[in-house]
This record gives sequence, structure tokens and C-alpha cells, in this order.
Amino acid sequence: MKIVAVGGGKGGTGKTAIAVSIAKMFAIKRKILLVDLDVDNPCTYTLLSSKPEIIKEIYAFKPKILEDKCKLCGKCVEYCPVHALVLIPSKKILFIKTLCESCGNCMIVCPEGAIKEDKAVIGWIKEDKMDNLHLIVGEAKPGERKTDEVMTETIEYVEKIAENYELLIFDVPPGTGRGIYDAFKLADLVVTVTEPTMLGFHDLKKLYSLIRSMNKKSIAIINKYGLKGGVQDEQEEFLRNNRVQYEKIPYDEYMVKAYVSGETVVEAYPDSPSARSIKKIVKNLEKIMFRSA
Amino acid sequence: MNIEIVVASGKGGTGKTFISSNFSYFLNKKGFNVLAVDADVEAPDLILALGDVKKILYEENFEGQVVDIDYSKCLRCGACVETCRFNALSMSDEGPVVDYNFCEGFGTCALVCPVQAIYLKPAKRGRIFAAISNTGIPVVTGDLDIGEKNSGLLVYRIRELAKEYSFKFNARLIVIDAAPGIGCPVISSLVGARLLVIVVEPTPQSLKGAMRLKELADKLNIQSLAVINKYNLNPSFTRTIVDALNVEILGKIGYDDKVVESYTLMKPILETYPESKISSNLETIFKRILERLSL
Amino acid sequence: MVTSMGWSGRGYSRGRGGMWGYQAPMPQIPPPPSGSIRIVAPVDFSNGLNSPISMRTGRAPYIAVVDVSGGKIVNVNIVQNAAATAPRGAGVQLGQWILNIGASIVIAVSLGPNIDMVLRQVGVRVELVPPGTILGDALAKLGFVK
Repeated sequence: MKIVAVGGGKGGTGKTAIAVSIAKMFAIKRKILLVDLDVDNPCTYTLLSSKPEIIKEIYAFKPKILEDKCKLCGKCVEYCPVHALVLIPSKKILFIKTLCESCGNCMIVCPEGAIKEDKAVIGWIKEDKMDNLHLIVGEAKPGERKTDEVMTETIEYVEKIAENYELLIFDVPPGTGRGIYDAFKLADLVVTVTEPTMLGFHDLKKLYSLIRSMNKKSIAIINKYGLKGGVQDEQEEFLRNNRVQYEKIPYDEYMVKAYVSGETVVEAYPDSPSARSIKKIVKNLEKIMFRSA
Repeated sequence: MNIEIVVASGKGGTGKTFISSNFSYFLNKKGFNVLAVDADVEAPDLILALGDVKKILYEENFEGQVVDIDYSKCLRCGACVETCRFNALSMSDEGPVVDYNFCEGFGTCALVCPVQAIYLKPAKRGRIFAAISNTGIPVVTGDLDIGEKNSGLLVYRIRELAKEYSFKFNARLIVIDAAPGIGCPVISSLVGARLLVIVVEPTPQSLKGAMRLKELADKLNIQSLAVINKYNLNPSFTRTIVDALNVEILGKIGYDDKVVESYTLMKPILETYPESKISSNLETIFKRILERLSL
Repeated sequence: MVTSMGWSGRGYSRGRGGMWGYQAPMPQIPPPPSGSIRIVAPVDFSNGLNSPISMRTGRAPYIAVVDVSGGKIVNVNIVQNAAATAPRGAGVQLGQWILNIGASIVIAVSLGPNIDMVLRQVGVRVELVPPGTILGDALAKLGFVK
């Protein structure tokens, strides 16, 4: 079983559309698991016209204050680094759930042992099965701060079922935090998707700092190649200097049209230049991952 | 006294930066002294949308804290490794090792160390800076180090720096490009603002985010107005938004490759395609905002 | 799980604050004199009763603490707001301090969701005023001072 992580810049680079396209194309012949780790705003399922259902809840540690043991000494309030606890004088300890970082300091410092470990839902794991393509989505509760935790738990869940599939594809959100690190750690190959804009380049450089430090094999895809005024030349030079193999998907009107209609360009305009490049990329990936033509 | 206008969206990727950069450009062209603030530090593209940096005027480090271990006291008992809920500690032959990619600096490990060998120390998490962009508009923004996240405090510091520079540039209007979502960095972007412009795109998630944002603004006694961006992605849902979102809709903007191109060229569309339909819709919207502010 | 009560304050929690980590604590001030009510207002700069009430609360630069008795001002104390430097939960930290110092009234322009919740817990009375209001005028207008 092979694992590919598709990472890249913020919304609009086309990373999710590419991850979904790769998944769908591989799924013609192989059993594929696509994992949406963009827990704040998962959108793989809209491109797949899928309605995944909740199969598991994800929890984080939250303190529970045992009021009969609590002596209102206020030590927990003092040691909470994010002020999620308030001492209401002579009354009780108030817990502000939305600020809690689940560090556990309060539980440790309470001299009365009046704080015990409780948990709260911070997100869900959802699933949908569509023939050869199975979809798992990690989704964080809206406004939830602990998105890395939601990602990490989704990854742990998926690790347990991964052996049933020939290929596992992680759709990783932009950024360089904990959840992304965990997905890259498992991957045999990291596919980075970028676009030839300054922000895209800024994000690409940051991502490669992480990839280099993890010593991961990677391939870059410059999406929307040929965009007027784009910095593709600088990006190509950067990738060459870092000895990273890269592919290009040309910018064409069909990509925009497909985005507007909510489909992947491979389905909507299969003969367009962008769609043909994606198919070529998938053939290359097939060779790399499975060493076959 | 300055007037702060916040452009936010409740859900990422809707086009806040597109709106806030063009709004800043519009105000500047109309003769207002404007200062642009990018509170979305994890994706600092406001200055890019305004032509990139021409000159940096000021910069400073933004710090947080992390733990460190005094190995001369350490017993290698492993209590710290077991306690850390962020997996930032692991045991090696030399003793426990801190992974600074994950250490949040909460110090739970320090609390369980039987010999107090762990202490907190400051650490650079990013930087904030003030610069002039190539469109001539001053911008205050920041940049985060790998693995770091935005926070209410960081946005607060950026806004403080912005206020300072607004005096230097005699800028009465401050346009703030908020972070996505409705968390702490957004609240920190909103408090004390005069007006909120909600950017919503025609998807159910975006509408939900916009409604939550409106609730937040109501609680903070801030007036809200809305703009529907990329309306052609789903014209029928656009109508749903008009009904569901209890906020004055200033107008609708379409999405096409002129938007993508302008963004790549790092120029506001008002500069690259001033005669386009998108530009004229933007101008109508911006004129309305000025009317609501009595300016 | 806890092998020793390391939180007793030795070593790591000293330094810039005396409180946990590097964040400065809110200042200590004496309780309100008996027979007086304590009013708190976030202000933009320190100028006694002429201080303008700040548009921000949790991260306002200064906090004014006014003790009033029988329509007369007994004390005016303007302190730096250490909560402004809190990485998160500034409003909560300020709210906690307001409870600790025995204030029963808060005058502000607007309250963030967290501080609002904290103050509600003990029924602290909140009076909202327009931005730019001067502290002394607010006290008079609201009838605390004759």
C-alpha cells in the first residue's frame, strides 16, 4: 500500500481539484482511499458529489471541575496559560471551553484533586464509499481551535484501515503545522501543488523547508502554468536548485469554467490542455508508485 | 480619530483580500489617505495584491514562549515526555528532547518535573512590519515562522502598529483584511472597528460562516454590510443568501479570469481592467460603503 | 500522576511577572472603601476623569477604577492593562481582575464575548456608552456622580 500526500497553497491553487482528479483516475483500476484533511473547510466531497456520513467523533481533553471538592483556591486559574478558567469569588470556577487548549495544567496543579479529565467533541470523521474510491473526511467543529488534533486523529484512524487499499491519498490543507507534518511523515511521496503567483511561491518555499527537514521524496506541480505575469520561471529555478522533479498544468479557460460549474476539469473538459496534463501526471505517478507503465 | 473598516468572511477563500485590496486602491484614488492592514498573517497576501513591497519602513519580531530543559538538574525520569499532550517531547539517550515545531509553551511538562529542571523562555514566532506597497498604499502586516499560527495577540500588535503609522501618514481610513473564520484572530480584528464588510460566496458553508460573523459583529455593536463574491458560481444560491443573511447586500461580483490574472500580476483589478464589469460593480459597492460612512 | 507539587512557585514562575510564564500580572489595588461602589472603565490614556473611554475593553491600554460614595468620587486609580498582552483570553483575564477587585459596575463602549460572559456570572452591571465619551461625563450622565 502506497501513500501520497498532496499539499500546497491556500484556496484557489487547485490542489483539491488535482487531488480528486488523481484519486478518480487511479480508482478506474485500483482501490483507492482519499482522505480530506482540510478540516476547517473540506471540499473534496463537493467535487465528488458525495454526502459523507459521520462514523466517529473526535474528542479533546477538557477539564471537569468537581465542585464538591473544589476549595476555590484559584491555583488552576493562575496556571491556565490561556485564561480559560475564571474564579467567581466565593462561588465557583467558570470554565470557558472555547479558549481551552487542552494542555492539562489545571488538572496537575489542583491541590484538591478536584479537576478530572473530561472530553468534548472537537470534530468528526466522515465516510463515503463510491465503487473503487472511498472517501474519508476529517472535519472540525466550526470555530474549533484544535484543528491539528482533528487532523492527527483522522490520520490515525485511516492508518488502521489503509492496508485494504492499493493507494492512499491525503488532501492536505495549506500551512506547515502539526497535522500536515503527520500526513507527510507517513507519505511515500509528497506532491506539492503551487500556482505561479507570489503568494503561491511564498507558500511553496515554506512547504519545502518542511519537506527538506523531513527528507521526503516529492514532486511539484505548477498549476495554472503560463498565467500572465506569473513567476513560473523563478519557481522552476527554485525547484531545480532543490532537485525537485516538477510537472506543469497549463492555465486555460477550461479550468476556470470547470471551477465555476463545480467539477474537475478532467471530467468536464477531458480534451482540454489542462485535463490532458493531469492525465499525463497521473501516468507518471502510476510509474513512480507502482513501477509499471 | 481613525475609522477602521474590517473585511472578513467567516470562511476562508471567499475573496476577502480581493475586496480589501481593491477597496484600499479605490479609496486611495478618491483622495483618501488610507492604510491597509493584513490581519490574515498565515496567508499574508494583501501586500502582494497591492503590488508587493516597495520599501519596508519598520519591522520587529513577534515572540511567544517555549520550554527548555536544564540538563544539569534533569533526572531523565520521563515524566515530562509522558505528560506533554502535544507530543513535543521525546526521550533520547541524552535525555528528553524538545521538538520546537510542536512546543506550544504551556509548560505542563515544567509542572510535573520533580526537580524543576524545565523552564519557559521567549521564542520568535514571526515578525510584523510596516511597508509601502508599489501602489503607494502603506501596509502593515506580518509573517509567521514554520508551524506557527495566528493569534489574537498578534493581530492586536499589528493593529497597534497600524494605528501608529496611520498618524504618520495622516491616514484617516484603515482597511483591515481579517483572518478567515470566526476565532480569536477575527475577534481581535473586529473590536473597535467602525464597520464590517462581510464577503460571502454562494456556498452553504460560506453563508453559515457569514451568519456567524454577523452575530459576532452584532454583539460588538458593529454595523455589518455584505458583498456577494463569485456570484456566478451559483446564481440561484445567491438569491438564497439575499433572503437568509439579515444584512444589507451592497452588491454582487462575478468571477472570471480577469480576477485571476490581476492577482497574478499583483495589481488590483481596478488598475488592470478598470473598464470591466467587475470593476464597475466594485466601484458601485465601494461608493455605497462611503455613503454609509457619511464620507 | 503528579510526583511533586512543583507549582509552589519556585524557579520557573518568577521573572517578569511572578505569574505563570512571561505575562505580566494585573496590578494589585486595595478593595473599595466600605460604603462605596466601584466602577471600572477601559480608557485610551491616563488623564484622570478626563480620560476617554476606549473602544476596546479586553485590550484597552489602561483601566480606570473609580470608587464612588453618596454621589461623590472617593478614589480615581488608572492602571496599565496587563491583560492587553495576553496571547489569548485577554478579556477573560481582565474580567477576572474586575471580579477580584470588587467592582460592581463596568462602563464601556463594547464588550467582547468572553468578558461579557465572565461579568454576567456575578451580575456586574454593564453600561454601554458611545465611543469618545469622557469618563467624568459618563459618570455624571449615568447618575453615579452628582
